[in-house]
Amino acid sequence: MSASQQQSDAELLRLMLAGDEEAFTALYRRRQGGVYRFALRMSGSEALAEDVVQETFMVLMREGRNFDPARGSVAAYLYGVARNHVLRAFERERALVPFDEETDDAADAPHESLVARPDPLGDLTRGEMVERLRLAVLALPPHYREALVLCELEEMSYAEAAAVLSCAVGTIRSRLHRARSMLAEKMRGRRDAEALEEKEAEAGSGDTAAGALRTARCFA
Amino acid sequence: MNCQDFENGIDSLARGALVDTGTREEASAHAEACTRCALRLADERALNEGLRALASKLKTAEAPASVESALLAAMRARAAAEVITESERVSRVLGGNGARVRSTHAQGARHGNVSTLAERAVARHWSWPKTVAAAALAAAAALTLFMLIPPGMSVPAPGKSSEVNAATAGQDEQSIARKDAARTPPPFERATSMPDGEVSPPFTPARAGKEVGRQAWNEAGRSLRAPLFTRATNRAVAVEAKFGTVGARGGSESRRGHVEGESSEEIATDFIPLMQGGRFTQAEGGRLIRIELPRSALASFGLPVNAEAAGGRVKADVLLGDDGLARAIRFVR
Repeated sequence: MSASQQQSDAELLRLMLAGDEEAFTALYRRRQGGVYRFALRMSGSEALAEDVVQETFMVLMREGRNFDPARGSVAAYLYGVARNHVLRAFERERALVPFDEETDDAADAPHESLVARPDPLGDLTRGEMVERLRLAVLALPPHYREALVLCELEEMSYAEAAAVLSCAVGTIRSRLHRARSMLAEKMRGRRDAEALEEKEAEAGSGDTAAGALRTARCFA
Repeated sequence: MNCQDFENGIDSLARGALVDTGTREEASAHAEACTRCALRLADERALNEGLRALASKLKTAEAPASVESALLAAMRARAAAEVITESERVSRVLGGNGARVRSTHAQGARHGNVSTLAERAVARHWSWPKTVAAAALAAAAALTLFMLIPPGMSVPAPGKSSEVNAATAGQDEQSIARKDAARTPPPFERATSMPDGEVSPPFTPARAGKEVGRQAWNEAGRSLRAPLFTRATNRAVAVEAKFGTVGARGGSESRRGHVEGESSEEIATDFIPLMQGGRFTQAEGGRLIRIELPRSALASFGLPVNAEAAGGRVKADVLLGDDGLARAIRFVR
């Protein structure tokens, strides 16, 4: 393990601001993944996520001297900068993927219980379910989405998420609860709609079978 | 347990988090009795499963390596820019014997943009009265060059000398422009004129692949037309205004140096892009400033440094964007 890997984020930042490229590289490699995934999960766009990572670390280079350890960790600072960039991008582009804009293939896919099953068909179904869930997350309002992404997907504690989003822990808890309820509602609504379609299809095929039987009797 | 109590503890139940045995049994009993709450619990469990799968799906996702490379390049460029700024600061402290920064007023500052230390230094150095005076001198020098010392030209015929007299007598701008267009340009102009009558910069800028420098020079070339110098004889402010416009496209300083006769034999490197402010586009404004740097700065850009002259100084042109950030640099000899 190299010396830079043992150093804290704050120490690496100090060295980086003094012009130490190795410290910058170590800090970047340590934190870029989280920032990238956060931006990707918030936006659903790889290109935007790359831009956000670049801009975030550019801000760190330019304004890293303003970082105050008393107000939070370097990681929280980076997530906070990334979050601002993501929200600004949303304002600019308004290019979120609505939940209803699924592909026909996904909409027509059979929907089973969300519980995974150890068979290929089950894996396929689960993959589709995960994709559907991803789109549902993207369709959440941003302030609910960021709480969900940080706590559920990035596995941050409520306190860490609160530091990133500059709000109280209670706010994170309530936003997360609301986000989960909205997601569950969406997934349930989808499932109910599909169940209804299935029933209608079954009823239609029953009518067809009865008609065929009547026709056969006529010929008998 | 009622439905509200069940809802309050559903998250812990769905996640399988530690819940005391009594509460768990009560919740199970409620779920068996209440279909709605049973479905709600099933939904929550399914959602947890889905979120776990979604989290693991992108667990190892990272930004591409190109982002790291770009950031490292930006860091190096930033360090180089700081060297430049430091050089300017030291020169001001030493009374201007070191780096000499010459530029038009800070356009970025006028627009309320963030200005760099270098830009602020330029703004302090270059006041309006100085600008007007320098422009008047430049115009006078240009006029002298055009009228009195056209090297390689024969003595003008008596008829042509009247044009000169008319120009010096302060005729209106249109008639001067017409006559300027009619007469043969002196060698100075011929040597630098482009096919469409535009004047090229005094030395060759970036070649293919160096988009930044070429765009800046193309813009400078378009803006710099020969009649400007004669027309502006009685209008020093107009010259300054024009220089300001040209400066906004990058290139006024080099041209001014040419007019002043300081640097007609200059040789420059290609523009070296600096990643500090992103790509420089033609639509974007910008300024070119001339500075002097320690010769050792060449090494920062991967250029060879003569060890014997390493202690000396080298001139450089820095192309600044509207935001005041350095976009490209070239070294001049």
